[in-house]
Amino acid sequence: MSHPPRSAQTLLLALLLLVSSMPASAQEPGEYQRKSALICTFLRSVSWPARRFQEPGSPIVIGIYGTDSISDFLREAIQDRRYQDRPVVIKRFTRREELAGCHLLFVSRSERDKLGPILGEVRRESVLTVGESDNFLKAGGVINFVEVAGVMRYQIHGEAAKRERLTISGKLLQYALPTDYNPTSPHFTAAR
Amino acid sequence: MNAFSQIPFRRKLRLVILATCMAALTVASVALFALQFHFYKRDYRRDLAAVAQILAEMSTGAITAGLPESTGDILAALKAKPHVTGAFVRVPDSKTAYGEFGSVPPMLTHTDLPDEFSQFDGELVYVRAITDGPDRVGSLYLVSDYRADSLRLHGLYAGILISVLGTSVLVAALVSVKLERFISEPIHNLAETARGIASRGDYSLRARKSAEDEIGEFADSFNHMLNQIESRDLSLRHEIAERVRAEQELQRVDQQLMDASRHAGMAEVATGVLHNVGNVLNSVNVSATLISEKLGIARTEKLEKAARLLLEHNGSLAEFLTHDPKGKLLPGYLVDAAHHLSNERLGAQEELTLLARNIEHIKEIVSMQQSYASVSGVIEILDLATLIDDAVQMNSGAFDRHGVTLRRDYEPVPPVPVDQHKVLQILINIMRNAKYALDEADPSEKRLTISLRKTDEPAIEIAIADNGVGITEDNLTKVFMHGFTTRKNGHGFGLHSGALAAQQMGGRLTAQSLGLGHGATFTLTLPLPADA
Repeated sequence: MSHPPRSAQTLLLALLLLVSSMPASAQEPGEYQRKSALICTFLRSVSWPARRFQEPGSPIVIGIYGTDSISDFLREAIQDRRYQDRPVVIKRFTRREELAGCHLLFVSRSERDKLGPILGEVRRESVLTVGESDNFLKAGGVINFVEVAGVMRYQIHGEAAKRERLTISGKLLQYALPTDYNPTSPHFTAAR
Repeated sequence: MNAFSQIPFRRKLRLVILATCMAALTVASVALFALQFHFYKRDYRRDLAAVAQILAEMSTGAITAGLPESTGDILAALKAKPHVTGAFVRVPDSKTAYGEFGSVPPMLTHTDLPDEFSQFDGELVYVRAITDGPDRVGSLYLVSDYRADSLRLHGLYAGILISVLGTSVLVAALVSVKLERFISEPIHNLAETARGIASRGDYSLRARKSAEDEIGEFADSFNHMLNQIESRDLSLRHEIAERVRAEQELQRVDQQLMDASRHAGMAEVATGVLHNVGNVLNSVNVSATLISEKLGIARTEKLEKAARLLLEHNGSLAEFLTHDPKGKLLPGYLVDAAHHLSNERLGAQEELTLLARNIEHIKEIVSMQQSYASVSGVIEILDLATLIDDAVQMNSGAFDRHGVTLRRDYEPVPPVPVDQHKVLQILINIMRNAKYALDEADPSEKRLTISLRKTDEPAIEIAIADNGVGITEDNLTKVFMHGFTTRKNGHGFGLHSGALAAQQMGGRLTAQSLGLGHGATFTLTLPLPADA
């Protein structure tokens, strides 16, 4: 019986090292990665009143309020793409008074208990508010992320959208979870 | 149908094939068309219903979100279905049309229609409920331009149908042109044969048998028939030739017969002439004998003796006549002789007149017989009593010799137009026959009664009755036949020519007798002209 050559042993060792050093995120998209993808869909499916843009080429501004876990993923998802023939700008806000300047406002769950004043700031400013808190719609938000059985879903508050004069595509509404969705209720399943 | 009967067989066959193909194709095409129409309608509705179902399900989210106007981009997908001309969504208790797509009849948005297919303003409308679980959250209205679509489609189908029919007919025509020959060729051959026979009369032609079917059988029968016709034709030709020959023979015999009859006629004429001339010659002979007898016993001898006495006493005539006893008697004798001679001359003159008349009669007979068939004698209006008397006169010598008593029983009759010589000839003939009959019977009194009277016909009847030997019943009809006679030296011509002569004058000659020993009556009937 003969021994394998030394060079083959060296190669096998190098391959093992390479595999162990790969990041875990590359194997499965994370929560904010999926939310970023959905926000891109929102950008395609919601239209704002014309008065919200100063000129035809004005960018769509995405505002992030609270703990920022999403902006890197958003940048990665959007890259240089144009939505509704406009460039997209991502801004992190720390001051509530500045919030009315954005078109889409992502409110982090870190702000769960301060939603009233935050959303009050952008009320009737035609801002598409997107949250990730169970009380977000009740507080006057338009779209709220809900994770059902490992699938990232969303709820849309029609009245809020109407109030904000936002036009939301039927297709987007088609896959939205009902606003009265209760994760503990037995008759809602991920299939809906 | 009449026009159809004029078409040649081959074209008829083609027409039948084409008509059959056309009928079959038309039925099949119409059935297919109807089926297609049915399926199209069903599928069209199914398709519309399926589209509506998909759209209704997709629209649920927007409606439940309270954003029914957001169904617009869902309904916009209908542009992939050109036959759907309009669509919109309605929510309960609202007359507003959301998410309107295409063109929608204005009134339709305010109209409630049941969840099914309906016709609205000429358009096909399908209404589909939009449900969220068990709840109805809205209605989807789809408007379809079904009519225009189906018209276009069915126009296309009709076009295809017509072109398929046309192509099929064309193909059928081409195929039938190739196939019809199998059927029509044998019939055509038969017809050609029949035409050949009809036009040339050539019965040796035969139809060609090309198949073992009914037409082949027909050809066999036809040929068999031709065989029979040919043999009959042949025998008919023989028969005709035979007839022609027979006809020629008949003509020849006829000619012969005509020649013979002409000869016979000539003979008859000759016999007639001889007979009649013979009869008259008898009278001529009698007259001549009488004259000769009278002259024979004339006293010319004594007259010569007296003349010689006168010559002897030439110088002393006065003395002789006055003194000689013989001379004294001489003047008385001369007177006596002169008287006697004068009487004799008168008698001879009378007899000579009769003779001349008889000779004239002979002349007439000959000239009459010369024109026997066509020319009759001269017609004169005559007194028949005189004519009868003439005939009696001509036979008077014979009657005298045979001691026949003649009785005349004439009624007054008007004069009639007759041929004198024919009547004379007939009467003389009958009288001579009567004389012979009387001689043969030799009764105690030989009686001949001649009567003349007018009948009601109107006609004149001359009846000559005798109490002679009579005629048997058998012979009554034969006596007028040519050549029939009961006498030893008779000719059998007299009565025959008499009857002919009577016929030529429009009258008749008849014979009556009660049999042998009872005498006979011959009656000559001559017609009276209507105005007499």
